[in-house]
Amino acid sequence: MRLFGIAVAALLAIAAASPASATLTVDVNQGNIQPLPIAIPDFVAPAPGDVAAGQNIAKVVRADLERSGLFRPLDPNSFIERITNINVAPNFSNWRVISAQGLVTGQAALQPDGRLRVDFRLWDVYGGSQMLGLQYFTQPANWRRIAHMVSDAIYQRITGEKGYFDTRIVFISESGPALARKKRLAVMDEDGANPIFLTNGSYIVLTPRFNPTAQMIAYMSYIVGKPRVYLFDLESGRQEKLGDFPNMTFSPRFSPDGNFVAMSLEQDGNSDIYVMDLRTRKTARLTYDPGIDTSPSFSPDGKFITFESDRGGSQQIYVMNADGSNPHRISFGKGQNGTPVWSPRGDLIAFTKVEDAAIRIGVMRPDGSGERMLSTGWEDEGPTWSPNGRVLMFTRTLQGGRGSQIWSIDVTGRNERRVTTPGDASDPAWSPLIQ
Amino acid sequence: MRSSATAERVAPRLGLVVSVLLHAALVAAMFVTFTRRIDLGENALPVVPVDLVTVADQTNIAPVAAPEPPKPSEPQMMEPVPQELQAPQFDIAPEKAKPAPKPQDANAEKLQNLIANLAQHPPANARTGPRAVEGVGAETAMAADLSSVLFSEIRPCWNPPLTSPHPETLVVVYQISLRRDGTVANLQLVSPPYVNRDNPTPLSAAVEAAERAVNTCQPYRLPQDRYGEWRRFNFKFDPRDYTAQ
Repeated sequence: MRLFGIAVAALLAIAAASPASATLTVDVNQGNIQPLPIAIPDFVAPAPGDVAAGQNIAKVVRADLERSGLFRPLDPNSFIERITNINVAPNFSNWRVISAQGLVTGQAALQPDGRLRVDFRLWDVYGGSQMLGLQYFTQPANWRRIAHMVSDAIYQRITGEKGYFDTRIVFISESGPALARKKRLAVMDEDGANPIFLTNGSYIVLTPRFNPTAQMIAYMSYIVGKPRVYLFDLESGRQEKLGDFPNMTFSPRFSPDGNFVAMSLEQDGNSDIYVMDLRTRKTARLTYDPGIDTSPSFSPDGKFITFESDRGGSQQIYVMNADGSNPHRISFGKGQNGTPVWSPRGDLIAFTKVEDAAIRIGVMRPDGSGERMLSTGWEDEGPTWSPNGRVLMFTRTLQGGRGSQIWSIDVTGRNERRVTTPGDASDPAWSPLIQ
Repeated sequence: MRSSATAERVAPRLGLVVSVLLHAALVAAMFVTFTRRIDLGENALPVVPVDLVTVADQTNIAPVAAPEPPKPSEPQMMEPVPQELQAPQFDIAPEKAKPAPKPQDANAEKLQNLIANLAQHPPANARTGPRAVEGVGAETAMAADLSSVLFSEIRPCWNPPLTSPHPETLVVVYQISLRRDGTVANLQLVSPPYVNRDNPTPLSAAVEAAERAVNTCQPYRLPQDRYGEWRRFNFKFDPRDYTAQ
């Protein structure tokens, strides 16, 4: 009887099964990597006094998106339609004609209370719908930051990843002759605007690093003749020495939560890695090897630290647990590998490789696999990640002592370009998104 | 004794099962036959002529060949073609030459000539690729052909999402319904089943990139006589080859 039941069920199942529908599925595994064409007309100005702000904001947004390499802002001269009211849907066919795929319409208006109000909408030209609409209020002097925030919002809406335009870069500004080089700590916006010198150049400053949660920098300086790690608060301008150690401390880097600083401490010619709790100012030693251990960098979850060491005979990259246990080598490629920096996204470690008389920037997975070299210079070193883990900045030293520059490159190896700095610059460190 | 008793007990049951299974097979066979018939109804015509047209479409050879319309009035200009479809030699007549073609054969002769020439010296602008013509039957060949036409249409329009550490999570399938003029009538997201566009993620961005590709690529240039085949189909956007490891 049971068998009969099964047989009937089988019959029913066959009868219920619809005839296989023969829908053709086309496997699209190749595309055409090109920046997205986007139209960003000058923002509408309700009053004659707002014209400049509207033009400036649109200009900065265009420059931001173009610099990312993922967008191609179209020439405003090619626009057919003039946007006069951002609360009316644009005539999309006018924007399709110039092959724009995205359209940004915006308005900048000074309010009676003295604040600047900026609204913008992002339109999907082919879908004929609004993708995003946001409004900001700020002091008029702050218009540049609003422009960067607009760029970040557009970037995030279209790529699905957080932007990095409303960020700052701290770097070492270099000037003067090669033998008496003046090195000053400087900070500027991500696009090179608003450069400010934080130190006066009377003492050497090296390896500035941003706190990932606040506008605070850790760096190494020779203020009192001996190299020491200092903290600098960008908001207050306050500077303090981090601990009082008998010997030199260098190569500082914050933990992802900003509560710890890992750094190297040198004693009797042996460098080891220490970590300091900024709240209690207590230090813990993490490595005990007679080799030189330096350049620590935390994983974004704070559980691991990558660092460089010559304990195996040559400078290579290692990973250990955040308490110093289980150190193991991950770089086994050619040449020497150093200055590892863990991506904020966690998927990659950027590093500097010395091989065949060239120094270049590359990335590898945290287990050491998938090594790829990115930069194409003669001497590129000291990578730093954008807060979204998509872009790297680094120092490029020009051949023949012709100075140093800051360059950026996409993690795919595309879009390698120079970052504008006042004069020679080195050792960039990327800030988190400004709060 | 015991075994024969078991056999007797089993036999009727076995007969029932066999009978039911055979019935099931019969019903299943009816379905299969029925489906086939419907599918074949529109396209039961010979494949060969259609195939030739498709080659021209796909490889972009047509524009190059166009400036030379066949001129039946000048048959004497033609050189005979060797049997093996080798490259034609215009300066020296081949030794084993066929007799001069009749005027009414000139078109066929020219076409053959052109094909032979193209096979050995494809034009620089030709986008030729391995033709996925599987030898299972006419339908398979046509479907594979149509898929490569659709692929070559969508390819320049799709901007694959880059740099996600997990590209395998960004595969997007869209069902496309096209009008007869090749414009998009409807777009239906098949996989992932749903995305929240107000909360942008790499996946929602991949879905929108796929949507933009489908929209910006229209109208699709496809063979009109086969509208029944491309009226509705799926595009599976797979960025795995592009994304940084």
